[in-house]
Amino acid sequence: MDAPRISAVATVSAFGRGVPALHDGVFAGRPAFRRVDRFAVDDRRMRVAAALPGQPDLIEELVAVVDRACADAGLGQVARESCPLLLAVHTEPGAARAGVARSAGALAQLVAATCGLAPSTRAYTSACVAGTSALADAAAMVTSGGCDRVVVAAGYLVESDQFALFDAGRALAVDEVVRPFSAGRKGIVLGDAVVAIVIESAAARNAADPLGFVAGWGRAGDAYHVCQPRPDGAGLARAIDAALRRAALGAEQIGYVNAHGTGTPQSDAAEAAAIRRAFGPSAPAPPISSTKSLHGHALEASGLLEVVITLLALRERRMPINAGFLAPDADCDLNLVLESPAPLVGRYALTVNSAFGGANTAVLVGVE
Amino acid sequence: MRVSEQTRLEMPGPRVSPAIEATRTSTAGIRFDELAAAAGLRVLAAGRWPGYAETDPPLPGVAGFIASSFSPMVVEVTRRALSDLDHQGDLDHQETSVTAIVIVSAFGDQISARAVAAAVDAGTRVGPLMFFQSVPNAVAGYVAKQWSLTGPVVAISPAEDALTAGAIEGIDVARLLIADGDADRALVVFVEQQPDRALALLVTSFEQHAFEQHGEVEIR
Repeated sequence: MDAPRISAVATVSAFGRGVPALHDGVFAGRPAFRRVDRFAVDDRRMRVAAALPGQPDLIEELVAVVDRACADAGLGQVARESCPLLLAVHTEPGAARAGVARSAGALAQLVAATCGLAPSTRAYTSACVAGTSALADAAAMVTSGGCDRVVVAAGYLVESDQFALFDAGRALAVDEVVRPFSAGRKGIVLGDAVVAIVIESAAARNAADPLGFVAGWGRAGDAYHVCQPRPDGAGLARAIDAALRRAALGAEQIGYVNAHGTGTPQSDAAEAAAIRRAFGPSAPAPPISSTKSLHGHALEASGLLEVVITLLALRERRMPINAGFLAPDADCDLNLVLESPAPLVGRYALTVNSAFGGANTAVLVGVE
Repeated sequence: MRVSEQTRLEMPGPRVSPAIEATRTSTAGIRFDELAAAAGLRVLAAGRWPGYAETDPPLPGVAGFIASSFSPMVVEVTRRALSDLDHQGDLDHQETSVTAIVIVSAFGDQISARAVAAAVDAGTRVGPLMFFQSVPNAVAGYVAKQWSLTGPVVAISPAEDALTAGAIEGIDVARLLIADGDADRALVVFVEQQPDRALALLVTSFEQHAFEQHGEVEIR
């Protein structure tokens, strides 16, 4: 199988608009957290997020990244007209306060129409795996021969309702720092991300020179709980196994793992168990970091931002650090990337994500 | 409305259970079995809310979910569908199958989303239980554990109502997951509120079903 190509990427994050801003911020290793000023947070247990200044508009930002990625992939009007859009979002942004019901699916159609893409869109709403589920489906669509190319996009901008819900669920880091896999970790910090990726078949006519490849992908469920991950990590490990199998790679060929690593106690421990399970207890553990410690957790869009960071790491041959680390936790026995510079060895890296409902995804990115 | 003789000729194979037959006459006139068949999928079991009787019992509550019918409908139609899986060896294979869960809802849990927005706007407390029910795949975790469904969990929002114009999107996601190999069956739950309606279908590919029944691939 010729792996689906990553032809172009475009991003907005708390580090700024554009991939260079993301690159510089992530490799500098300094968290982009700041006091929230988009809405009132006085009554919350913590008050920071990885948020851009001002009041960015999700639809405008989505249109901008999709348009930019299409332009960078060299997609003209004709190519765009036959190209589907798979979009990961929580909801249509105004839905909860609108007088009439609004669907995320209609938002996907609006973005596609504005950018001149095909009307055959799909909106993914499966929380923290929404973006990577869309990417896996896009890879399957171009591999099966059904499509030459697919645009995958995702967007989340920090807003009052999710902030209130994560606060109510005591999931936000009260010390206002994300400490993935560390002793003393307290929880998540929400973050902005708006991402678009153009995926093309190796056989597509006029395909752009690839930035990299989606070498493998996998999706699997925990069958365990509404909101807690399986403590033994078996569901996420099966997703990783599926990604390795599709790529026909052994675990030892993975040079870096970009973790889900939210910084919450149970989730990080379950993820560590999954990594050990998938990579084998005796094999050398792959270097791993959670960049949510830098760009925060962008919910539906986080996975897709982490795919872009994984691609940047492979192309630069260096790994971003796992910031916020205080001390080892025996429940998270991993080979964490804690110091920079950290050279990345090899041509393949994995990025994993998990969500409520026991949903897990693994995406294996490769470069020439 | 009865299924026509012509349809029976086109749909050979095992006895069709009453619940599946009834989905063919859903109120909006959508034939879910035909949508599935056009995508190469066989419907193994189905359950819906409201049901087929003149009056249903009250929708059973689900521990941990409050204030909204969305998640309880998903749990109830799943129970109705998988309880219906009682014939032709399909039940035996369910125990060894990797079954995906696909939640299909254009508008999601509107009641919960509006309750959270109202609390935020009024500056009042948001209940901790609202935290996880704010995403549509949370209830998928509930039914996954209840019925040992270990496949991928996906939630999508069609542009239009999941039980009418948007239904095909749910079928297409199930088709892709099965064709791509991360699942060999899919529980597809179409659910909308105002008014409350939900339908669960357990589907597999014709090829997978033939393999399970006969140990060989069906030529279509």
